[in-house]
Amino acid sequence: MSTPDFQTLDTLTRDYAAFQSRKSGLATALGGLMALPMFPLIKVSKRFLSGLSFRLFIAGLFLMPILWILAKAVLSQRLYHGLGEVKANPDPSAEALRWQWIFGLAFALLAFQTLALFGFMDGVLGFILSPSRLGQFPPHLPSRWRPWLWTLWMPCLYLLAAPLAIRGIEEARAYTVLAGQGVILLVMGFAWDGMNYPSGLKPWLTALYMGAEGFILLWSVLAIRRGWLEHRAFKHILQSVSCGGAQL
Amino acid sequence: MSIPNLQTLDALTHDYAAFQSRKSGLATALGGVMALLASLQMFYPVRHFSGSYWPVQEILVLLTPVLWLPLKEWTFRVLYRGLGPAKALPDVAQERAKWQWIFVIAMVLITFQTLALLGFVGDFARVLHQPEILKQIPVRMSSVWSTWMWVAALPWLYLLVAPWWIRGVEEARAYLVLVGQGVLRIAFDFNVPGADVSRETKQWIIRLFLLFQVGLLAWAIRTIRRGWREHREYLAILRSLPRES
Repeated sequence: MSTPDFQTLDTLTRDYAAFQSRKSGLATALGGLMALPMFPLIKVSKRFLSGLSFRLFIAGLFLMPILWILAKAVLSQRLYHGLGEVKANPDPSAEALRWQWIFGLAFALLAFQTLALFGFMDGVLGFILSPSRLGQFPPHLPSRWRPWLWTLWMPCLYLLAAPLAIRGIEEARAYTVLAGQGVILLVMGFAWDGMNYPSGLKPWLTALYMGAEGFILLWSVLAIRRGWLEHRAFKHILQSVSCGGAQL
Repeated sequence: MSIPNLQTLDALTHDYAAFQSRKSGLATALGGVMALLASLQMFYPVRHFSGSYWPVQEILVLLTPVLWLPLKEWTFRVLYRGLGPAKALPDVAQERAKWQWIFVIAMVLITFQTLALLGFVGDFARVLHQPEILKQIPVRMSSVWSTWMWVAALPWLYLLVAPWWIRGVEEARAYLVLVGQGVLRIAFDFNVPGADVSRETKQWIIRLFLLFQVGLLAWAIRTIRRGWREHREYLAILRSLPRES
């Protein structure tokens, strides 16, 4: 084997190891794909599902980020371990970037929980403070809150699973999209009655929701594209290996 | 200088740079001391300072984690920069361990906020369903809770400042104990004013509070011990420096 061949093999091994340690190709694309149809699915499911099946379906939607982690592990194992197991050299900048993403997600989720606490306290205390408004309080609302209580744990779960989900920047983006969808779903399911906010804020909240949703959809499309590009990069590594093998 | 001396100097520079990049010795111990003082204030508050209740004490306890960070930096600069600033080579394992501790802090804070949210929603779902109970809720409760709303945002602040100020594992552990103390204080203060809980629930809350408090105290003592050990490590570095004959 000539010296340039060794160099090529060295580069390929490095690329392959880096891919195995920080990328997941089509699994990243799957993350984007899973975030796309969430709201059309809810619309359709309301027609065809009811009772327990609807609840299970909603639970499935909330657990989408966790399901993605499982799917990612299976897909990575099936698609990108063809040449065996390798481990990349530790990369301080990649590691720092990974943890910065996890921290960003933690901060966003904590901010969400804090704002939810503020919104809820402000809304309910507003009613308690003015007895005249208390009569306007929809009596069905407290009983509607109860079935949704378990969903309040979801941001906690999304954060807990983040180090498992995020190994590289593209995985971080895909996971953020899925966790973001879960959080929007939480807002829709739990607090979209307008009870926790003054009614004058409703148009602003709708605009905020539409903006967040538009941003998430855009990011999902990006995740699909980036995942596909990663997959092609892996194919290129495989092709280079087989070309190298043919030359030997 | 002979070759063994150069090797010793290399090892010392290495240790000194590592200390400067990731440790803070007595500043870490100071974090433990501050946590102890905060818990002392919780058990023995000075209630008649200048003839009235002094809220500054409470604010100080709540802000202890955030106050410790600049204090730590200042202590570090005064005590451990004697041989000039040095920068260690990146150590992936140490960086990862530091971030994992920051992640633990984030988990503690988000769990606390979730429990607070669940407590409020669950309790109001129960109370708002029964107008007769609702009428019994003291009106002053609203104003007290409105005043304390800013406190609910403190966990946000605790997390926000962490990555910028925490440099090593021991610092992260010290910060966690202070954050734990702050969070416990928030929970305690939210629980007190006009809260409509049964006697049994109250007893559980007190037991939980004491349990957490004992855990935090043990951790605070451990932090002081570790900080002191780091300080002695630094003194050993200084003593090992080759002297000119």
